[in-house]
Amino acid sequence: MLSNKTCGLLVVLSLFLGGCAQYENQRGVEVSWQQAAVADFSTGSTTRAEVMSKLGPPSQLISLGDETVLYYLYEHSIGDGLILIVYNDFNVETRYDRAVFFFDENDVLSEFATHIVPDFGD
Amino acid sequence: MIEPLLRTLLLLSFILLQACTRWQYEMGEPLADYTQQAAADGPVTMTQVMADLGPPLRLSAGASGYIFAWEFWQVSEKSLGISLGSLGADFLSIDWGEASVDGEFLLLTFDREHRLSGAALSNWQGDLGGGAAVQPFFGVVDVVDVDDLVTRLPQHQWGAARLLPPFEALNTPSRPDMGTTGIQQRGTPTGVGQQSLEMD
Repeated sequence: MLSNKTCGLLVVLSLFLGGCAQYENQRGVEVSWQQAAVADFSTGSTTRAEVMSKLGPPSQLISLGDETVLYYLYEHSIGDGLILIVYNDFNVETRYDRAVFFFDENDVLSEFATHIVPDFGD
Repeated sequence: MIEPLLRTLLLLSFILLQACTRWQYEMGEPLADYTQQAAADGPVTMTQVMADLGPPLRLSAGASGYIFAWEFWQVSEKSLGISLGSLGADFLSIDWGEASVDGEFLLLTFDREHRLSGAALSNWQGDLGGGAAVQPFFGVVDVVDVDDLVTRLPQHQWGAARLLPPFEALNTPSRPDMGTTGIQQRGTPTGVGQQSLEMD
């Protein structure tokens, strides 16, 4: 039968052989659509060239008739894990910073919106 | 003094429990039920909607306008494996697993004048499936799999559509992640519908 000493050793091993993990994953374009950066953009006057000059190439370009849409996406995942001998627990949270710009047939900004998830991954 | 029963359970857990694992995924941010607000406020513009909800997570042009979607998912996967490998009998493993989901998907459509033309909110709560397996010699079956629900958003792949395998590249004009032919929710099977020709 297992002795108390062996039992204690197993418990100690389980404590010290365990581990933890923390990781993050980022995909998409650099977030350059902070409030200050887009403050100069205004519907009816800002052109598509000006937006692309400031924000760079988009993640996706969509067209509908004469309209075009530039979509910018930054996907950010943060994970943490508890790794024990007999039990492992992992949590992964993903958030999406994004911006979308609509342009009319003259390539002038007609609608836009941006979103940056606050206090995530800081 | 540790009771014999406790000592035995402790020893068995170290020998038999190959892994007891729990994965918890959370994607996006909780949604507001915009369908009621849209109905109550009458005609709503795209500008108002994006001011309230931010840019959509999925976006596509359609024949009559634009399709926007927002989503929030919580996916949980639990699995337990028991193996006799520690006893030198590496010929048998017993696995059990289950997965569950709590998801919200808000779909809004706009006409060509950027006015809201339709709204729907769906909630999906419950089992995603699971299973148990007794596998001799080799573990060849995953008893629970949520990979199709935790994939990245399709916008990241948009520029690389022509680099996909032949059947998928040829189907690009019909793929629902190209921004021109509608959108689809996570976990939608590809065996039917717009992606059936991809023979995935």
